[in-house]
Amino acid sequence: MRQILTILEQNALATPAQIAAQTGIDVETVTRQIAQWEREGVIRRYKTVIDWERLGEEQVWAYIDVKVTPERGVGFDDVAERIYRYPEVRSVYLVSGAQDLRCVVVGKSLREIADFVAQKLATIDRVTATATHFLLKRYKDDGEIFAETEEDHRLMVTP
Amino acid sequence: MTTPNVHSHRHLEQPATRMESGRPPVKPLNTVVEACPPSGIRRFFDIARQMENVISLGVGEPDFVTPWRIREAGIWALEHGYTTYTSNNGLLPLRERICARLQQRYGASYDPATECLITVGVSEGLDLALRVLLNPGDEVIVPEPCYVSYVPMVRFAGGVPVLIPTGSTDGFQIDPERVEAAVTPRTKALLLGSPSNPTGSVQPREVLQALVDLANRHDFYLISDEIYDRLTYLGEHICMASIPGARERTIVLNGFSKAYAMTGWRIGYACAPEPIATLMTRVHQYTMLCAPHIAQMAAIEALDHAEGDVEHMVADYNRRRRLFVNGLNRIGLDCHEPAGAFYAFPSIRRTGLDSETFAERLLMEERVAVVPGNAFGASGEGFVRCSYATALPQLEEALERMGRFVTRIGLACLLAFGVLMSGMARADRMLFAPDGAALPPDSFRLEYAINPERRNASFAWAQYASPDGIEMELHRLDLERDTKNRYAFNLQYPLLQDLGATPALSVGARDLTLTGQERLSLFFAAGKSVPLSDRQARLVKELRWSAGIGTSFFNGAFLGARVRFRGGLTVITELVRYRPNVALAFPLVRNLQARAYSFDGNLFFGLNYALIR
Repeated sequence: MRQILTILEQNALATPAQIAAQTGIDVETVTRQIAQWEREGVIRRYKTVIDWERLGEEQVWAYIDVKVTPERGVGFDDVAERIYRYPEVRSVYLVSGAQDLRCVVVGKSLREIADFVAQKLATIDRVTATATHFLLKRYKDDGEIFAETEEDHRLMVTP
Repeated sequence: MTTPNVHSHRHLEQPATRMESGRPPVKPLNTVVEACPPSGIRRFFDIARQMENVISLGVGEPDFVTPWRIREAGIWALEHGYTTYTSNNGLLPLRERICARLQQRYGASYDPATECLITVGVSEGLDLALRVLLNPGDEVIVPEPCYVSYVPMVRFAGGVPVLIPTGSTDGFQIDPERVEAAVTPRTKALLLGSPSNPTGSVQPREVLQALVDLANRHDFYLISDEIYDRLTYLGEHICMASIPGARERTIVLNGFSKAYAMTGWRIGYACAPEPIATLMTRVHQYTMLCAPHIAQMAAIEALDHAEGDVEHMVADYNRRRRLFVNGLNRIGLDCHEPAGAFYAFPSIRRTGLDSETFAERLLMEERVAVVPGNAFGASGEGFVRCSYATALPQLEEALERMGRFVTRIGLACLLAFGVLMSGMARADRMLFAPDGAALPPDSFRLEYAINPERRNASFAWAQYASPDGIEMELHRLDLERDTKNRYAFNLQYPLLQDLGATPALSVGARDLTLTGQERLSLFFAAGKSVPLSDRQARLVKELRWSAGIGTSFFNGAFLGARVRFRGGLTVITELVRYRPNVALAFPLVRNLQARAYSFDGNLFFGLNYALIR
């Protein structure tokens, strides 16, 4: 059954018939299992991995570390919530180390992100410091290698 | 494999051609090597290389690149100057790990100091094994279809290959009786690869045990090529040396090429009892010195840390294996389920083409490269080797192209009148309704039935299909009391085979000689097997409908259906002359069926004997 997820993780468009052919599980069972996982939230969503840069789309990605004074009772949760509600914030993590929250923010320009940090992030109560790192080049993202991939060097026919 | 004629022919010609080209006459080269034909695979490579948009299923190596951690270990070794010779039998830490792994996985124990040798791939290991075992003229039994190098390597080592065939009906299992029949006082060894390149078959434990028993009884050695050991999908791999009684006469050959996707590193190993290993090391020491140092360093990393990578790759091959083998069967190329390696070895007999023609036309017409089965020995004829170590979307595309090709061949038969047609759906009509398929060529069928209530009521018929597919039938029907001229001679000619999208089609005539009671009737019939869902397939082996139209005797349209259940029972029904008939058939022994008929409301019991090629 886990094989179904392995296949879907690689290719969200794989049809139940294709999955059945690869796993030997019959089509109805595959369909039923996927539906169940969708209901249970094991499968959260089907996404597409896009190389926007190839399209010539300008996008600025920033990794912003945020230092927060935690508050009794809520810890960092309320601050994290105030941050992740912004749609331009892609991810928010609580991490160990010198900083507390790590946010991934996407904007159209450096200016836009700078404004976001200055006007939205830094002004939140209990946020004591921010450090912004702009993404310069994407080599591998979520398991996907964006740099050129290796070619098939095999001969056409070998014993 | 080669005829002496070819060889002597070349022999005569060569000095002459050399003179013409202005070179001085020279002595002939080694006769054994000259007599050995170039690999059949090579020719295909040359054609395929010059074409574009080819999907190659002809590649005998993984499509994965060596896992990064192994490559990185190789780079590290290179950077740190591990560029020297190693000891002749290879780095001890590597040998220790190999022996530990064989012990832990298969329970085969070897002393890393004296019984394990690192070789330049299994190829070198096999060469060494043959060289230390064989004296000139010694025989080596080789079950085929087999890896392309086995036979030439036996010859190069001065041995005589004795080939024994295996077939697809039992999944290319080796028949120990056949092996025993091939044993002579000169038999020195048996050479086998399991899992097998090209068939993907895995020899079951009983077969291995039987071979070991034979080896002990007749005193010969076993050379076991286990390069595909990790790529076993059904059940566990069994190491030959772990079979009771095997170790002292067994050479186990293995390597890193397939499991770790390291074909280009050229690294393998041989494990054998000390006396054999010592001699193998001696040859290796003088001819090869040692296996590449960097590859040995990388192999250590492979054994230590790449288990996860192997499992990932094996799971991936297994998914493609299921998809591809199912796909082949779906498009009408019967394929036994390969339990190991990464090859499917489907039968192409239904297309009526020989394997070279099939492979060549498939390449030219649909740009899919496969390797003709006869490259792997005479019993590989009628099959092609397809490697599914190819990206999934390409496999799907290849199946589509092959399906198109097979369907087209089916249609081409309509034009190619008189072309030999083989392996068609079994002609199994009941009494009158033809089902579109004639008997396969060179097949024969006899049927006889009686009505137990009326002694005289009986029927009998004999059918024979000529080598070019024309079915001739002589029948004697005595169904009603007062019939005269009960014999009739009928003909049926198949136009199309039941392949891919095309139904089987035939035309025919009954009572051609006008001596029977029926008068001449002409008919046209079609039939097709219905694809079954997995659930249906659990119960039913084949479901086939047929329909047709005919003159005089048939009096218009007729219909039929046939269901073959798992377990052997077949139910045939037909509606002819607007009356229903039913027959039940049950297999008694190999070619004999018991049948019960309800014909025009009367009950008959009979026997059906079929000799179908």
